[in-house]
This record gives sequence, structure tokens and C-alpha cells, in this order.
Amino acid sequence: MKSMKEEIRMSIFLLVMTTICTLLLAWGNSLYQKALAEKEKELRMEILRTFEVPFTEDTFFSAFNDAVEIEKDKRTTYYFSLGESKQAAVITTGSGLWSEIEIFLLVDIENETIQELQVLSHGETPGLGGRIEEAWFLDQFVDLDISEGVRVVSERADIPGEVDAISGATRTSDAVMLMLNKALDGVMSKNQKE
Amino acid sequence: MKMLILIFFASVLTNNIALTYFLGMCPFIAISKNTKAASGMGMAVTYVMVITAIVNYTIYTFILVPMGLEYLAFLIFIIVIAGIVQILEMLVERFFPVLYVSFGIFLPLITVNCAILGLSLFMILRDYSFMQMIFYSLGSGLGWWLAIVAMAGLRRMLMLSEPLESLGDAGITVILAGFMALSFFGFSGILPV
Amino acid sequence: MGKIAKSKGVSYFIESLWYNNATFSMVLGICSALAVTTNLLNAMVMGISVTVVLLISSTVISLLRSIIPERVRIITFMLIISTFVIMVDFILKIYLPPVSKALGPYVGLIITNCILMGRAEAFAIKQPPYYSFMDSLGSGLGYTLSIMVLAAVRELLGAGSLFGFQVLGESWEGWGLVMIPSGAFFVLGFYIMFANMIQRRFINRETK
Repeated sequence: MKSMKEEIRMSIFLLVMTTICTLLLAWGNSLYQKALAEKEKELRMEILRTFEVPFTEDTFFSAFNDAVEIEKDKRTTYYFSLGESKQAAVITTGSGLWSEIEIFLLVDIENETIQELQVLSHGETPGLGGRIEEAWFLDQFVDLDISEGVRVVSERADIPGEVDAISGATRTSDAVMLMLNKALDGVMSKNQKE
Repeated sequence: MKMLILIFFASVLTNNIALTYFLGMCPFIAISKNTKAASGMGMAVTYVMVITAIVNYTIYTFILVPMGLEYLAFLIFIIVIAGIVQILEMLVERFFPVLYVSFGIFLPLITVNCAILGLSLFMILRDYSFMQMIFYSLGSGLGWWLAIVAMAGLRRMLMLSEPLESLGDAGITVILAGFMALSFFGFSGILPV
Repeated sequence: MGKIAKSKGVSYFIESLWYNNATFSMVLGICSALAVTTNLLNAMVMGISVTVVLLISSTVISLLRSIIPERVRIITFMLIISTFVIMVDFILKIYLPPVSKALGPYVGLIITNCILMGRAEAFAIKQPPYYSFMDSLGSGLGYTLSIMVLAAVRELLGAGSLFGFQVLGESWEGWGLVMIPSGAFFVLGFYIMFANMIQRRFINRETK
């Protein structure tokens, strides 16, 4: 009899604890989602600016819907410009050696070049793979010809479409190359569909 | 298929869960004193890893994600792990008494082994499919087993030498681990992962 | 009476900060000490996160210690610790996204960080909230200081910087060894050795 009471007490305690914790987390999650939505809004405003589409706080929503078409893959989001210049902004995440690498890519579909590459976040080794965020590495991608894909090479890059890898950071360099080509394939194939 | 084999060998050798990702260090340091215990622990870790990976994957993919409850993943995973370890302990003690002697006694310690939870977290982060997850968890478990048994072997050799007293058990184990990691690092050229 | 209580609390604090330091005395929480110490910023954020979760969960457990049934105490610890780890994870994701991404799953692994379970089981469940708080504060800060020392060594030797600021000049090539996993083990090993040496030489207390 006494142990039954104990069992019930235990179960009630656990139930109450679990409920409180879950509610607490649900509340935390709602705050988190709100913050995420804010960030997404800011990102979209930035993209509109990149595509040189004018907007104000009020017209933002409609301006965005008119000017940009969004496509999503598992880990990639494509923002296609519906305006005159055929551009695409891509935000994609891929696995680096130590961490997830998130990059921002601006593609000129018409001329088949990369206009800009930015590393948004990564957790690669500082001084080695971490150097992907350095200007000298990223600048190689400006006006890079991508008609034959991107190749990150360890010998001197001289053919269009080739860039220098980071010495001592082969795995990270390869990871970035993989991500870029995947994103570029995505851009080109989704562009064809239109 | 090739990808699965790569994942398997990568998690055993080049991305060894203990020597590259530093998971499961507390038992790694504490239990590697003798080879028998090390092997028992390694066995336990491998079994628990694979089973919990499968269960956590199923719960995450078919319950948490569809309901938008991904944020509960940490909580659910650790509770599941605790539960499975508890059940496993009872089953092994009851039906496989021989096995219980070799690894059953380590089971209670495993719940807080960061390697088990870590594996589930990594598998979610890397977005593995079901088959990839199987090979990954199996490889990681076996890799951890390999590492701890190798470490136990090395520490046996230490009986013949006298490391500095200030180093203590932990210090010398950690430095040995460093050398082991270095030699495992040498594998990293083999696989294109 | 109040004076005695205060110095007892402070002595718990110092005890867990130095004599029973999580990293070099008790050898707890090693997994993260190796993983997040590639640079000072990550280490500091991780240390603070662990300390915060430790403080909150220990205090809550201590407050509830009389109503937590004996048999389910481990599960209760897990529930409480996990909840606050997830909250801290939210906060990091929103306010420090690059650090959050760099720390990645290791934030979630705070749940299995032996320091938290260890302190809950050994201390919080038995002691009143004030003492639990002081003990957790000491453990957490001890851990944070340890990993920051490790990170400082690794970042300085490996990248020539501290907190991202170049300290050793542009020409510093960077000692790759300390940046790879092996280096983490070596640096930790030497840290344990030096910390123990200091303890024995100058404090004259028995080490474990």
C-alpha cells in the first residue's frame, strides 16, 4: 500500500516537472522563432538592396514578393531576382571539417560569373581553415567565371574558374568548393525551369 | 553504398569520436587503466550508441520534426538514452548473465557519457539518412572501443616507466591520447571525406 | 551566526574553484575543455554558459531538494539541466550566432558535462540554496578559468591572436600542432601538470 502511494507520488512529480519544463521551453522557443523572423526580415531587406530594388518600411512586403522568387533546398535558400538583371543570391550551409560553414553567394546568371562570396559563419580552425573568411581568399571569387564550375586548386590557379586553396587547409578548401558547386548547380538548374 | 563505407571508416579512423571530437573523455580517462575493463566499456558504448541512435533518429524524424518540436530534441534524447540504458541493463542482467559480467556493470555510467548524446546530436546536425546513421553510429562506437582498448594497452606499458607525479593518471592519459590522435591524424589523407 | 554562514559559503566557493578544480583536480568536463578551446572567445562563452546553467540548475535542485523523490532524482536532474541548457542555446543562437555555430553541438553536450551532474548529486541535493550557489559558482568559474587558460595558449601559439586580436604580429606562422586535436590533448596534459605542481609546491595540500 505504502509503495503504491510512493509510486503515484513519483509519477505525479515527474509529470509535473516534465510539464513545467516543456512549457518553459515552448515559451523560449516562441521567443526564439520571433527573433529568427526578425532576422529573416532584415536579410530580405538586404537582398532587396543588393538587387537594387527600392522599398520603404511599408512597401517592403509587396516589393519583396514582386522582385524576388524564393526556392529552397534542404540546406540552401535561393533568392532569384525577377527584375531585368538575372541575378541570384544564395545562402547555403555545408559541412566543413569541424563545423557548418554558411556562405552567401551572389551570382550573375546572365554572364555566368560569381559577383560576390561571403562567409557568414564557420567554426573551422583559426589560422588554417578559418582563413576562408579572409579578403584575399574571397576576392578571388569576384567576377569568377563559373561556366565550368568552380575548382579550388592547390597549385597556382590560372585557368578561369580556378582559385587558390588555403595551404594547410585542404579539407576546408574542398568543403567550400563542394558547397559552391552544389549551390551553383542549384542556381542553374532552377533557373532553367523558369 | 560507397558513401556509407566512407562514413564508417571515417568515424573509426579519421574522425574518431574520441580522438578527434573528444567525446566520452571522462570514462576514457577513468576506465582505460586495464584492458579488460576498457574492452567492456567499449562494448557497452557501442551497443548503447547504435540502439540510441536508431531510437533517437526515429523519434526526431517521425515525431519531433513533423510537429515542429525540434527544440525539445536535447531533452528527449537524454531521457531516451537514460531509459534505454536502464532497460538494457535489466535485459542483459536477466537474459545474458555472461555478458553482464563483461560489460553490464558499465551501463549505468554510460548515460552521462557525452559520446552517446553527442552522436545523436551530430547525426541530426549532419542530416544523415537512416542508413547513413546506422553506419555512422556503428563506426563511432567501434572507433571509441578501438581507442580505449589501445589506450589501455599503452597504459599497461607505463608500468615499466615512471611518469611525473604531478601529471597524475589524467595527465599522462591525456598526453598519450595526444600521441594517439597524432597517429590517427595520419589517416586523414586516405579518405576523400 | 550570519558571519559564520558567510565564511562557510566562501570556503565552499574557494574549495570548488581551486582545490577541487573541475579540470585539473577532479578531471571533469574534459570533453568540452578539449573541443572549444581553439580560441579564447569560444572558450569564454562556453565557460560562462556552463557556469550559468550550473548556477541555475543547482539552485533549483537545492530549492526542490526536499520534494524530489529519491528514486527519480537522476531523471529530475536531467530534466532541469536539459531545460536550462536549451534556454541558453536559444540565447546564444539569437545574440551570438557565430559563436553559437562554432560551438555547435557542444552547447547541447553541456547536459552531459560531468560537472553538472556531479555537483547536483554530490552537493545541491543535500545542501541549502546559498551553499549550492557558492559551490556552483566556484565550480563554474574554476572550469571557465581553466578552459580560458587552455584557449589562450592554443590561440596565441596557433594563430598569434587573443580574442581575435593579432598579438604576435603578422609574421607569426602559427604553430599548427596546438590547433589540431592532438594539440588539445598535449596542452591539457601540461596544464594539469603545471596546475598540480603549483598546488603541491605552494599550497601544501594533498592532491588527488
